[in-house]
Amino acid sequence: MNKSNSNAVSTPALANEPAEKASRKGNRHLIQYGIFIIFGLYYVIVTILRPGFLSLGNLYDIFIETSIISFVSFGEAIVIAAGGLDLSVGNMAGAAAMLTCHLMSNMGYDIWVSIVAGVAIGGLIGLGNGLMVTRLHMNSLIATLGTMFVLVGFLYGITGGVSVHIVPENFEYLGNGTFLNIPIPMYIMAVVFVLAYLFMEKTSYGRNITMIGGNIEACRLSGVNIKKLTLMTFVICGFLSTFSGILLAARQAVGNVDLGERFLLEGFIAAMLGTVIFNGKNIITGTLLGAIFLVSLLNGLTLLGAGPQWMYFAQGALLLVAIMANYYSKRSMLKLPGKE
Amino acid sequence: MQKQPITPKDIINNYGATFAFIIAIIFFSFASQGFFSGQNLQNILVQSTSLGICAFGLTFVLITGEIDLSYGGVIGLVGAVLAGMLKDGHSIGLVTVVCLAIGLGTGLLNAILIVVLNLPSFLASVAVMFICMGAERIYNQGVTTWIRDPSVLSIVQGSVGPVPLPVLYLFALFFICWFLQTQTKAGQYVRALGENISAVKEVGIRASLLKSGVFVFAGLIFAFAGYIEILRIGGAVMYAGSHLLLSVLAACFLGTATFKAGKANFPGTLIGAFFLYTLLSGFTALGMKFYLVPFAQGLILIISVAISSARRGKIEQVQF
Repeated sequence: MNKSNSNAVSTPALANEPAEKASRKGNRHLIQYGIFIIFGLYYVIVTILRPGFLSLGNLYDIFIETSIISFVSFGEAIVIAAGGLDLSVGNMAGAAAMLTCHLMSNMGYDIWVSIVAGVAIGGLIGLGNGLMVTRLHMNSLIATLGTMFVLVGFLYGITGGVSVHIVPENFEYLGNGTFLNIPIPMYIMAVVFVLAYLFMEKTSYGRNITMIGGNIEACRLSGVNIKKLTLMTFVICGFLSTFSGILLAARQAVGNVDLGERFLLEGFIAAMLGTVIFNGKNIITGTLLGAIFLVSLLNGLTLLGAGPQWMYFAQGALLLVAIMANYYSKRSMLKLPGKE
Repeated sequence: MQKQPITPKDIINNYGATFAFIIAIIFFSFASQGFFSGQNLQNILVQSTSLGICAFGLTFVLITGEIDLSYGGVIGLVGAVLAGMLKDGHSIGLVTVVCLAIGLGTGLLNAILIVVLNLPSFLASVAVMFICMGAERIYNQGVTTWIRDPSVLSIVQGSVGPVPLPVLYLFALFFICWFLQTQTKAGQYVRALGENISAVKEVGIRASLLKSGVFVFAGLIFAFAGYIEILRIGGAVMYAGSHLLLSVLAACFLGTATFKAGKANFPGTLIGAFFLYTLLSGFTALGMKFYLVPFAQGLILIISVAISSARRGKIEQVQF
């Protein structure tokens, strides 16, 4: 861009700054509420075409699915908030589920011992990811890609690739049971949601984690312990991903090796929507809404009779919408004139 | 500037993965009888062609400081169209043009999303990947289509003298990419884009045009990789691209630990691709369980990248 041109652009921008500020604020709200409006319209259309969409059974399905992917999404959202990315969530969920099922059904351990072992392995892997990023200064994208490969080996290695049919019926109760007519996974989701919300919004840890993602230099200068907090985000993400994997295994009553594969993308889209919906604030609530949007979008498409090929289109389009909204809302917030 | 003396640490930082590659070859040669035979080495070369070619496209994009994962969908889409059109009786010439046009189209789409609309490249290209996977599924209805015409298959499965054709394509493309990037002015600017984009703009280079060009070129290479992959297998299997998704990424990142510490480069990527298949072949020759292969590949990826990034001294953040 030549010099006279850039002057010509910047002078009028200075002159009517208040007006521009107002329009930027308008843009931001448009993006925020735009997502709600689009999904509102979508629900109305689906309900008119397929009234079964709003039936109690279908809503149960949507909420159980949402609870299962919500854990992985919360974890991914927290990692993204600190400026990282975890590609290994899907395989962590799969590895935890395989380990739990194997210990429980093939080795005859107690249910709770098996679940604790599954959750612990997620925490350990998360710790490994975090150490690679904070101590070895690896880019989180590459470090977690490596973990992903290692975990593929691990989760096939547990049983040699054979699916595990779950023996104890109490375990299935975790995924399929209800208490007071509300499915068990929803209770677990509610507890984790409240804890994650309090952690991210009401403790100094959470505030600082959000700040690291916003401006890492400012954090360094104000003495925030960046290494400790970044490490913490990966460990939390490791723990939370295992919840998704174990609950899905309980719901389908079988542990198989590719069970976790879907979580990478779904968790990522939900987390990305979550950071957009409230403009980078309140990401946990946003992520929950994002998960509901994602699950109901796919559920509605299935009811409308769309084949699996359209699911890819839908997820790709949703991802594009999320990142466009993310980019433009960030730009209007920071008053950046774009990457240029 | 005065040249710093080279310490052993520098050598390990810069060539860590190269040493690991050589050690792996020596180890497998001693540990298993059939590994170091001409036939087996040739197999490794042939198997790594589509991965290597695809990785060259990604390397070009990585050099500009962006990333492009759309190949995960482009390879599958090209394969489906290739097999489908041949089945419908179109000539191979027309089919080839259509395949390359698909690569051109997806490359342009990437360029529009990433350069014109300024979206983060990682996410935008993942979205393009899904759109391509959806299109593939709609085109082939989820059916595997085999290619039976021997004259078409000989484009990839034939050989010139003792050299199999895919290996020839791989090295030809390697040379083209390497030449374009290191020996031409535009190629040097591409590297400069990744190092310091504002400096490039200050000098008066049209950075966005250059970057768009890289994405389009990468799209073409991805389409070519799909073309080779499908003809090598002899049929369009569903989602052929997603099987390559992670290996290609791994090859490129192994490459960053092979010659230029922390920077994507073509010779490194080539070695990275060979390395991944050497491990696969070596482990198979030793009769190891199949799941130990990704395990070892992941560990080696982590170790070699860790060595080359350990001296960075601060946490790298992912930009959205």
